[in-house]
Amino acid sequence: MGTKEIILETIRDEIPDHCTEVETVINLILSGNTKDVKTSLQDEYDAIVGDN
Amino acid sequence: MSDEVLKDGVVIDSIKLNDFMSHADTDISLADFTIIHGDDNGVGKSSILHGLMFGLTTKTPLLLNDNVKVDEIISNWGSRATVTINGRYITPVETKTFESVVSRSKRGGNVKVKINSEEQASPLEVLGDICTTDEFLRLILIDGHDITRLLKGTPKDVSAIFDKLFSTDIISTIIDLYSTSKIGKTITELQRQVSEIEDMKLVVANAVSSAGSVRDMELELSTLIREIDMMRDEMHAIKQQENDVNAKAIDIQNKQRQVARLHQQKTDQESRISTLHGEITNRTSKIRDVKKMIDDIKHPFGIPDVKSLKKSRQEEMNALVQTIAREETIPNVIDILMDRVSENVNASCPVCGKHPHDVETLEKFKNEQGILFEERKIQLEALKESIDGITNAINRIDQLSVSITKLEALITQGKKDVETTRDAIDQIDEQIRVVTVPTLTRDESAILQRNESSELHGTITEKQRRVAEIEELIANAGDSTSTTRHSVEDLDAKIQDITDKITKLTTLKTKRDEIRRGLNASLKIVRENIIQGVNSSLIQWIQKLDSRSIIDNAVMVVNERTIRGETQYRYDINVSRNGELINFGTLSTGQKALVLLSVILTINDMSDNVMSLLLLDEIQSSGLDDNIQAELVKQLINVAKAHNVVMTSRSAPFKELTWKLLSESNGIKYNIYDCKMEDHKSVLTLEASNI
Repeated sequence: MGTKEIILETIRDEIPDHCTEVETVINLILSGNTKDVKTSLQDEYDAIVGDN
Repeated sequence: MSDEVLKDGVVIDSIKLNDFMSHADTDISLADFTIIHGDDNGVGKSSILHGLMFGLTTKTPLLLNDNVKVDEIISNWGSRATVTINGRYITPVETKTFESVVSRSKRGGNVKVKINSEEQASPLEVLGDICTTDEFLRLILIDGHDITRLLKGTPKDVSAIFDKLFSTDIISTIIDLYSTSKIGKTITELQRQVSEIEDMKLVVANAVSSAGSVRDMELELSTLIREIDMMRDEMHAIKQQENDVNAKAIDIQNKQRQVARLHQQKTDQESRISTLHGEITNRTSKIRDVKKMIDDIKHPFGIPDVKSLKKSRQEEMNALVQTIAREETIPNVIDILMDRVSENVNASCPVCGKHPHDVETLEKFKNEQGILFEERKIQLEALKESIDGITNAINRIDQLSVSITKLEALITQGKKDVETTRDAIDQIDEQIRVVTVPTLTRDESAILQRNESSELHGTITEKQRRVAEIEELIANAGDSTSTTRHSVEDLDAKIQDITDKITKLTTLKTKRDEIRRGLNASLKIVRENIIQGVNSSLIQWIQKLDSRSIIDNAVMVVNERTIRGETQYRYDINVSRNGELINFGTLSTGQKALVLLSVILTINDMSDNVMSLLLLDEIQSSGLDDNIQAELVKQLINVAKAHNVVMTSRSAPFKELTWKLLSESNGIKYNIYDCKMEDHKSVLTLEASNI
């Protein structure tokens, strides 16, 4: 098992159960897809703030 | 490097140095394990390692040092240093070839990198995203003389290298993504907006209480507007009257100017008549003078008709001329007669036909005729002079007569001009008589002086200013009341809306903070796990390499500190001897080499083999025991299964040892070069190879 896999396992164990999105985020980052993560988090923020 | 044991990464196949440091034109084929051996210092061994880094990163450790000038990588005889590296970038899916050509002149650099014959932006792209250029340089060059380089970077740099190598930077990246600072700022901004709306409510309440005074102002306003309207009508009438009077006054002024102009014209004409009279009198006097002059000219002649006188004198002169002509022949006749008398006494006088006189009488007669002739010639001259004087007088009289005629003509013209001017004066008198200059009445004069409309205008302006004030007051009050009437419900709804957003954002922030806390906790655990593995590996390597047990323990520790809410980590290696912590800096070069080699080998164990190239400069100089050196070489050969290892050596025994162990290894390809100086240039010779 490589370091990245060890880190992923550790995070899965440590992050609260209801924060399931973290696993998705980690998988996206591991696949080099940081942009989608940023967009996703920004969308959540924008949905609340709207055109304030 | 053996392709069969390679997982992925960069394979350097060859390097070519042109005018680079001490190398004029050097070609080196790199194997899994390449040894550059040279007995002496300064023959160009380390330059090859610098060339590799320059060709891959466009920089060298020399260039990282601000005190070193760029031309130090350019050979003494060349103007441009060029490094060409050929290699392969191998992934589980495919293999790409690449060529990196990097050159540098004193004026600047030029980089050209091709992968599968396609140009790339930077040679670093082919190295994989290991770390930044500076970090990469610190990592791949392990210098025997300064083996502590890895730990000479700032704590931040070293942490960044280790984070990258151990993949812990993934967590930092995720933590950054879950940053809540923007949410916090938005919540603060929304709270400020709620506060503003609350303030607006207060304004609205004040506006409502001022509604009564607004009604009073509206009454005053309507009165003022009515007064202004009336005053405007009044001012309009006055203004009209003032305009009429002003027009009349202007008409009077114009006509007065016209009459004055006519009087001036009349005066000018009268003056002209006077001038003409003067001229006539003057010319009449001149005629008189000229006539007197004519009389004076006539007077010596005694007769009034000078021309008749001239005629009679002319006749006299003509008769005299004839007489002279006739008598001019008489002497000749007398001479003839005298000759006849002398010859013939009967000869008669050819003139009178009488009998000739005697000679004496004839001579006497001839003399008397001669005197008479001379007298008549004198008379003739006198007559000629008299006639010339009379002619001159006549000419002068004629000239004067012409003057008189001209003067008389001028007098006649002057008299006509006088008549014409008198007519002009009569016409001017008629024009003056026709022009009627009106006059202002007393009332009209009073209007001109009073300027009543201006005073009234001032009053209206003053009232209008007051109207504007009241209108603004009412408008403001109206806005407030309008806002109140129309937006009380909206404001409440808006406050509710913003409050909802604040609640949602707070929930989001709480959730993300919770994730961040979890991730930080994970990071801590990961680090602990990694450090545990690192230390386990370190101890293993130390024990393997340090047969004399000078160092009984070397552990990597992570020091944690919190700055402005952010946790930062610093990696340190604590070295102990006989159970006591000792300062890393106090170790000998060999001991430092031992520790750092252990660290390198540990990193290799722990970092998923992200390094592709291990450059070791004069590693044998770290003073290791023979058996330790053998163990070290075995480990390096092991490293070469997954990476290019390029090592320089000044020690022939160390070279021989490495060569021997490489020969015994299974599948590791090696090249051993001998490096020396010829004519101040580095020359490499392939000494041994199993390729």
